[in-house]
Amino acid sequence: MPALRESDAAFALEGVTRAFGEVRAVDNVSLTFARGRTSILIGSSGSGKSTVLRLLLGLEWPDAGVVLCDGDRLRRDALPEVRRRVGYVIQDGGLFPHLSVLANLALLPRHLGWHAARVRERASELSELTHLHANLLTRFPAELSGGQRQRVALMRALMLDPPTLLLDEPLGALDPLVRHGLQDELREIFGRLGKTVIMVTHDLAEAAFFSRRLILMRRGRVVQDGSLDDFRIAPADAFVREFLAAHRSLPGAAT
Amino acid sequence: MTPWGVLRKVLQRRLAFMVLLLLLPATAFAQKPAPPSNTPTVVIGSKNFTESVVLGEIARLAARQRGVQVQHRRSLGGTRILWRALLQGDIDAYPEYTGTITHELLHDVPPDAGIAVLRKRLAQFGIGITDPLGFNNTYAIGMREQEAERLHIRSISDLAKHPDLKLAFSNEFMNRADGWPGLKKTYHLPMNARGMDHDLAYRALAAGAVDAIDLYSTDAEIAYYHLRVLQDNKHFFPRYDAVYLYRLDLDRRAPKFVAALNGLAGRIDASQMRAMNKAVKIDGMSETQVAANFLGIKTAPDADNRFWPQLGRYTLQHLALVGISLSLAILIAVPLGIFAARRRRLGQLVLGLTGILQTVPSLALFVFMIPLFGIGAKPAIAALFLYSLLPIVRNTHAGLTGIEPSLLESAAALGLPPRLRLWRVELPLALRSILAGVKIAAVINVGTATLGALIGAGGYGQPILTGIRLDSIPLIMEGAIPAALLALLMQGVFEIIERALTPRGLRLRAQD
Repeated sequence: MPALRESDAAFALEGVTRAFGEVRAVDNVSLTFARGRTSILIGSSGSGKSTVLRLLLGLEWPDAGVVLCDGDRLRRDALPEVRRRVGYVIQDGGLFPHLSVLANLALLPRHLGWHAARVRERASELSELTHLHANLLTRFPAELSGGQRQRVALMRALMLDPPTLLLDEPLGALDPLVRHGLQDELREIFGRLGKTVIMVTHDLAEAAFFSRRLILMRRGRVVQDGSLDDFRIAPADAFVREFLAAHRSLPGAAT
Repeated sequence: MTPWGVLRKVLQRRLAFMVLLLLLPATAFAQKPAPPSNTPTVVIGSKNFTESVVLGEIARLAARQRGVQVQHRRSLGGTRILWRALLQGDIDAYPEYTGTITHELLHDVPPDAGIAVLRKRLAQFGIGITDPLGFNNTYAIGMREQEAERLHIRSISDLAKHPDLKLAFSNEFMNRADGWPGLKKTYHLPMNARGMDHDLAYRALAAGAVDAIDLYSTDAEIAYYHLRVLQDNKHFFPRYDAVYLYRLDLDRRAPKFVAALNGLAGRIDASQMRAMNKAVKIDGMSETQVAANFLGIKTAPDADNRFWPQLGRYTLQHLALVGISLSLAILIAVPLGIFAARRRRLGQLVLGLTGILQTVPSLALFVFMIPLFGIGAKPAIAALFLYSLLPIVRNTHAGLTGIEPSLLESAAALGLPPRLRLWRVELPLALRSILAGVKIAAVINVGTATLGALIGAGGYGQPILTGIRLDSIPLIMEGAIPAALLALLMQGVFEIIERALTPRGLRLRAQD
């Protein structure tokens, strides 16, 4: 991986630690995320990968170290503003069950003063991009399938056309067939939009499918930062080998 | 979009608006003041038993004969309520007993203090006292008239000559030092007595199963069962002479009313009072009619006492009590619940305090409100308001803290400002729980509001109270059945509101 110039970094962590009680979920981590690239945080559950995303959004606050956003230190008073430049998608979509699909999409834009017509126009644009049938816009989340819900979550994250997308196991709750299809679509969307994407997954095959840059975490620390080939050829330690072996043994994991 | 849909949209946007809309009918009723009155200058109160109400009516009609318009707030409750109301000027006068004044109101006078002593002492409170009305309503011993005549028993002393007589006393009388134990010692009575429920004792006496029982000397039953009240020739029982207490400022404000009260002194003897109690409790005459007969005047039957108009009045009063107290409770309790959910530590304090309020016995809470709000609808509303807080605070808190953390985080991560998160995400998601709390508060409120009658707030408690006083099941039902129906209606209305306001998306989820 070539060294990045400071201005190319959308986000950076510098020596960040975040502890919950005795457990250090993130332990002295320094990372840089390049603008316009897709980076994957990978590791088993409890490795701290989700916490990294949450730190970038200010949903968690570092006990030590600095979070940089576009080169500036993340400040509490700037959080709403920073968050509007970031789309965030979580595993179960996080859609508001009391609002229709369109109302979910409209919540923030309407607050920012968009006209209803503009919201509808943007929604139909995004429904084409995410292959969500337009007549589902009036449905409620409970009336959608898991895959449809994740498409809506992605649409909601993209409403303001933010330069960055953070995805926390976006496909984690879907059945394998749906998941497989959505992987294809998501990769195509990322490629077309040219956004900075940081995605969390525990599936090595999925990780390698989306990006050449994988960041493997374990117990709050970064174990290895590189491509799948780097992991295979020059594993940083025994854990990397173990992690690769575990995934190779999974039936149907290879894409 | 259907009209319902439109309405729902509007309502969801502003929960406060919804709350107001919901309670508008109730507050509309409240525009009507609880007691219909043509601003009388003098108010007389009475306690929650027949004799007191009759004495109140006699005073009212006697004053009217002298051209003074008097409002009678009948059956307000017990001694403490009346006394406080008198001191505060909520009422100007009420009938009382000398024994009660010495035992319960003034603690620094001897129990056998005469009227002159009481008058001097009460004047320090700004309270006047009439001369005794002529009867002494104290504990007494009663026998069947024929039996007493046959055995030549006139006084309690005479009882000692008949050791084989069977005595039955109420349990309280059996145990009080100034009851049976003292009586037995003072009069050297050789026989033993057994405890018995007071109402049963009358029937047992009438049936000849027992020969003598304890009673109050003006009980209606004395006339009904033709009983003889034995003379307390050794003056064992304390005197409970009936008098009127009144505010001394009436001497200036309404001297004619004071003259009317004083004019009643010495005019009512025990047998007359007994007959009047019987006329009301046993013959079913109205207190007004009995009082008018006593004074020898005619009164037109009160048109307002017909069944339906009266029920309508009780209903409006009851709805006003419940509606106003509930609206206020919602306006205060929902923000408190939000606060409690935001600040966990302080929130526990808020929940604890509202919980403690709930443990105050309801009658006590009503009485506590009197010094602050006087008597009538206001203190009742205040007490009901306090009672309504807990269910609403608790359910608001539970509704908000029960929201899935991932949804709260999604809202935050979207970059929604806190206010918008509260109004568009958190409150709608907590709405069901909040409405359930309001529903509980409303239903409890309908029941508790019946106690309001004890402090002059009217409502369905009025017929219940009168029914208990007159031992009339039908009268109790006149209040109890509408109150139960109103509680059911409240429940139904809130369920409809809940269904109408619950966003369709949440109802779908409930079906999953």
